Amino acid sequence: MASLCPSADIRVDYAPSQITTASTSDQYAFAPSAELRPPVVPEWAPLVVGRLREVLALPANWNRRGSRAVEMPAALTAFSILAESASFDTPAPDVFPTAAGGIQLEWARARMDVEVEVSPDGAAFLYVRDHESGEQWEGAFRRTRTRLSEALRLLTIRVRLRNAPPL
Amino acid sequence: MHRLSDGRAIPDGDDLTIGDDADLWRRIPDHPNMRIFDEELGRMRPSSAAFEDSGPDDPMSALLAEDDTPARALSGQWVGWWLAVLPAGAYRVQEQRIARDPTPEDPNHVLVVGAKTRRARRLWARTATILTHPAPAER
Repeated sequence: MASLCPSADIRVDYAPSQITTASTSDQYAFAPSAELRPPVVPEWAPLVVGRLREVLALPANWNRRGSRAVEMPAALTAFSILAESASFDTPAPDVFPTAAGGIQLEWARARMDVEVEVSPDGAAFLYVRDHESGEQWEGAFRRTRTRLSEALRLLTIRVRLRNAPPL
Repeated sequence: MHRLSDGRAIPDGDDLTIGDDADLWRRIPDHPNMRIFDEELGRMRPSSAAFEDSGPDDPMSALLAEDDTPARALSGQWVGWWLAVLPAGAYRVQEQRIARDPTPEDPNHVLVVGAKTRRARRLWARTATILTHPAPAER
């Protein structure tokens, strides 16, 4: 297996049979043919971007009780937390505005409850509950970033197993 | 007296003429969406983000359900919104107090006053029921 890496942060493995030669002027010595090009945009990204655009477009007072408009730092932090913690096929979270001008990401599936609350200044707070193991956890995201990756990996695996065709 | 950001004052203390089993309706917008399908519960529920105070000086708003109807509560500027229903006792056990705050539009308007911890908001989100008008079957 050869490993080609379009971005320093993303590693994709290809079988040798899938590799075609590219001209020397190309960025890489080898590149996959166009039809075999792997997805470089995670499945959740378009949905989350669309939803972030919606909440960023909300005017102040969207709840008719004095809520603040969603702040851009909150949206950027929410997206970068996802980019850091989610897999390509992690289910997209629901995205909610908060009255204070922040963002909340929420999953309630595959026996997991996961909430990431991002305040207007970009500080984030994480809550995880695994109904299967009974484990429950919460805390500031900056101290516990691996917790979210682990929770989303477990959630993604459970969804993959559930969606897998029967043997 | 607690003073709201618009200068109005609400009395201190919990209004015990509102019983623990009295339903409170919280109006929630449909846009932006504030609902999530919870697989564990097997139904739609509000996001915990729907149970925040309106601002530092403005406690969470709700309506006393008795003598009101969803048709009235969700009329006028509230068409398309929905109601998250919880009894007053569900708020009180999370160290909230209920204060009457009648307005010209809503004589049954109340405020749920107290610090809203994340734990409390999650609990309310998972125990609240959703009321719409018209009911989904009538839409």
